[in-house]
Amino acid sequence: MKVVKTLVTVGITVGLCYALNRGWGTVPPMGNFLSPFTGFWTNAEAIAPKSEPQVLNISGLQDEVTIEYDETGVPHIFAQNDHDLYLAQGYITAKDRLWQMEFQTHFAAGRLTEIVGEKALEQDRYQRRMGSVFGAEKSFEGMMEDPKGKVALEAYSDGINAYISQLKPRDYPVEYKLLGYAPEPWTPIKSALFLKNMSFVLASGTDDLRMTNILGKYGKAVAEELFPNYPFKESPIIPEGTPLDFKPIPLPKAPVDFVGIGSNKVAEERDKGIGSNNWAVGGEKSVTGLPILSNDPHLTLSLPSIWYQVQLTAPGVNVYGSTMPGTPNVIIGFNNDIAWGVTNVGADVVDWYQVKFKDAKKEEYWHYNQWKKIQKRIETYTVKGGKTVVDTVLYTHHGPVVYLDNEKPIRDNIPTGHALRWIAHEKSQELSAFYHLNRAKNYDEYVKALGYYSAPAQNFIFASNQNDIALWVNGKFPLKAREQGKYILDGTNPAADWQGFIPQLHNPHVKNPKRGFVSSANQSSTDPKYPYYINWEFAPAERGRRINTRLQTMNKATVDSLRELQNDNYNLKAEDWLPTMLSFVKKPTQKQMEALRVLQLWNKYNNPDEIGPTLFAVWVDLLNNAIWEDDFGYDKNIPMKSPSHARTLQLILKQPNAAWFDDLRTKDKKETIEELANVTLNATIDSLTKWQNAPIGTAWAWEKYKSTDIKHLIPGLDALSKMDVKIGGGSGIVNATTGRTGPSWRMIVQLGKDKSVKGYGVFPGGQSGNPGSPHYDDMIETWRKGELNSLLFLQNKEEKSERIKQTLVLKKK
Amino acid sequence: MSKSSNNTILSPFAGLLLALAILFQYLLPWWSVALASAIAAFLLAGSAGSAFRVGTIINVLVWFMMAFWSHWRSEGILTTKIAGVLPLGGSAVVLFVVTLVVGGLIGGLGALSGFQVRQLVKK
Repeated sequence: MKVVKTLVTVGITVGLCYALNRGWGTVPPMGNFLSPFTGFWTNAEAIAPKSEPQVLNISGLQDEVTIEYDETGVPHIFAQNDHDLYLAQGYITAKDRLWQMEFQTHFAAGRLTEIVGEKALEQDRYQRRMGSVFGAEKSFEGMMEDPKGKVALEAYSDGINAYISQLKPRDYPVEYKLLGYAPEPWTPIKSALFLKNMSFVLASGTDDLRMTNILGKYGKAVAEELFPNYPFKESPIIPEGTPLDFKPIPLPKAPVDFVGIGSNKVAEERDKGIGSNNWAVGGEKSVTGLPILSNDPHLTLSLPSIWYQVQLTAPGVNVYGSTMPGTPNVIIGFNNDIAWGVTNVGADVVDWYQVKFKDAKKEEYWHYNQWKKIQKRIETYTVKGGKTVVDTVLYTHHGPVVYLDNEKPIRDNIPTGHALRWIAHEKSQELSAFYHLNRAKNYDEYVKALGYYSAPAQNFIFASNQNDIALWVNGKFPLKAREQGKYILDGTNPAADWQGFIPQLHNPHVKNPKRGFVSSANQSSTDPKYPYYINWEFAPAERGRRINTRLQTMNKATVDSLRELQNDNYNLKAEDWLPTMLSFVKKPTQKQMEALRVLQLWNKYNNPDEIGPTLFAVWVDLLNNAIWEDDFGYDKNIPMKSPSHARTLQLILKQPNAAWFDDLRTKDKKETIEELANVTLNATIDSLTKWQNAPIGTAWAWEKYKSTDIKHLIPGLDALSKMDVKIGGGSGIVNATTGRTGPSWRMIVQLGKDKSVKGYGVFPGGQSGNPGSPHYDDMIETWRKGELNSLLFLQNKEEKSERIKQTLVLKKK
Repeated sequence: MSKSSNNTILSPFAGLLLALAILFQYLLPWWSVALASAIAAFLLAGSAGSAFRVGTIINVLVWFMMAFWSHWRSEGILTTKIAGVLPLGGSAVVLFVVTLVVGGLIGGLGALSGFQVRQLVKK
């Protein structure tokens, strides 16, 4: 009897321990998670950090490194050589951001199944089939060829591992405890994976399939008319009339017109709020007589923040700025002599080639009048719980056949049965570009540094204390015939292949233009006179036009006036559209009256409490949808693109009686644009009333409609996110804060002689990735209010500052 | 030393349990709370009832002290967040209760197991 009783008790105890020691679905291993010895409790950080200097012994260091943390938690690293500098950067970044670094590189490597199980398999498969690991391997090869890049990459990795190796399970970031896994050693190739993922975020957009479907349905003339290769209102990045300082090489001959079969598998679409602003005013326009530079890259707003601020100091370098956890060097920042920043170019660097397989075995494909061998790449996925899934990806000389005809793509812009040619598959040396930019002292060194850079192509803005300002639209651009790759290409025709690359020194650029400023906001890189093809369509022109108008009239610019421009909420699209839209409502009904009054009184600023922006945003979308849905969205199985809003407005103004305004779905009736405007205004009012269950009023405020959330990287963790941040702006606004995306790092640098440079910056998050740290989200309020922190830029480790809160000394073991 | 004196939380049994619980959990995974309680009860527990009672109370106490220390010194920065991550309605109090139930239950059951095993071995 006693034996049975004992067995039962022991059985229950052991059973409970077992049950609480493992995760169940999304339930974390609760025993470990709740234990105050090992669980989340140990991740809560004391509010006041220790103030006495801490000394740590780190293996692999060559000399001593000093790190001073300021009050926002920014580390200022002082090393005695490059190797130690990057080792310390790796160590310190991991200390604040380890989980994020690993999670993001697992995402990039298509390894999420290892953390979250089977449900991530399609995402992982997409990632790998697009060739991002294939590309990272090539890119890594390139990075290791530069001896300086190699030192940085390896030391950075060693630093991360030095941090990981001294962790006990109780020290793991809380996300590991929540998801029930442990960090693995870092490897240098992960930095390459991270950078490749930036190409995924910024340079994987592709409309070739949608355009080909349009081509198939309406023919070339209509496609080209409704999808023009230059917008009717534009203010290009490189000012019109900028002379060329190179002799262009001839463009390759365009391949014969090809109408692909397209494809008809559907899924969801990608984010449109990603873009960026940057500008620099020259000395004659600034109050200091020297340039002031501004940059705010717009990315998905997330916690932990995508950026991590750091100051890196060693012989030959003293640089401050934002880094991306996972890669060494500063990505956007300044030193004593220069400042630089980036916005995305959005070049046409993704092309699809229709593949003609020999037979169902898919071992050979037709190209240049012969059958060529398909290369096979085996991808293995380890699923949490032990299962492995093996997948074979077919490669032509163009690149991977991302999906076969019998497969369903995860996204609806990916054609099946087509090979992908993508710049991210190229060998590259982005890290070397940043290594040299961090150390550049003048315009020539900046240009030299850019030569190392491939992808994702960026508009690199520059200012120096020698009173130079410049902008290079920079990256590796395939040398193609004009509009080659606007539509799907013929994979059998060698003339449709990429024919080399535009010489880097021929990339669009401008130095010290007459207008006294340079700027970019993802709009058209150049006017149509530029001798090469970069893309047929860029981001809408509104942000760029607004910035250029403001800068044109700005004199005696200060940090503050540029900060105000960063926060500019003016809705230029409303200025373009509203008068026309309002003119269509000739006899307003009772219901329309109130909305009309709000729109007429609205000053066209997307401020948080305004109702006008909400009405306008919904109305203009519904109107565009009403015009085009019957023509380009009538069948979900044939994904097409609708003409841009800019093209649509041009059509309304220039051809108000165009047949396109008729809704083809109503057989016996011919709609006019005026009718569509009235119907959609009513629909706007109805849908907003239904949404808030309240009539027009404060419930319809823009901030409520837009609802900006800064979300934790793990979906669904609202408690670790910052929800409903009250802030204005929006898509197409200089303050490009949408619901999920926005200025992810705002920086302004006032250049100065003799080490008097001053930097200002903020990002919507905090330095620490730990939700249990006061530095997790302590910059959000400053960011929300449109303010900037003054950035502490120390000249050497002896320099004293009241802002230094803690000192950490790393000694060699 | 009479075993009956090992029924209260001021007994040598309780003292040993406290010491082992802290030592084990500091060095070993979280489930060592059961192991520490079992060993202490195996050596010193006076009865099944006292083993379970003392095992529960001491471990609730230890977990409470540790959790409260973390909560207090960080001004609760993570407690409410985690109470929102878990389906606890964002209540820090409920999170404390759940934590202590787990610690107390595993500790109490561990101690009871230790006592019962000794009863078998003793025969």
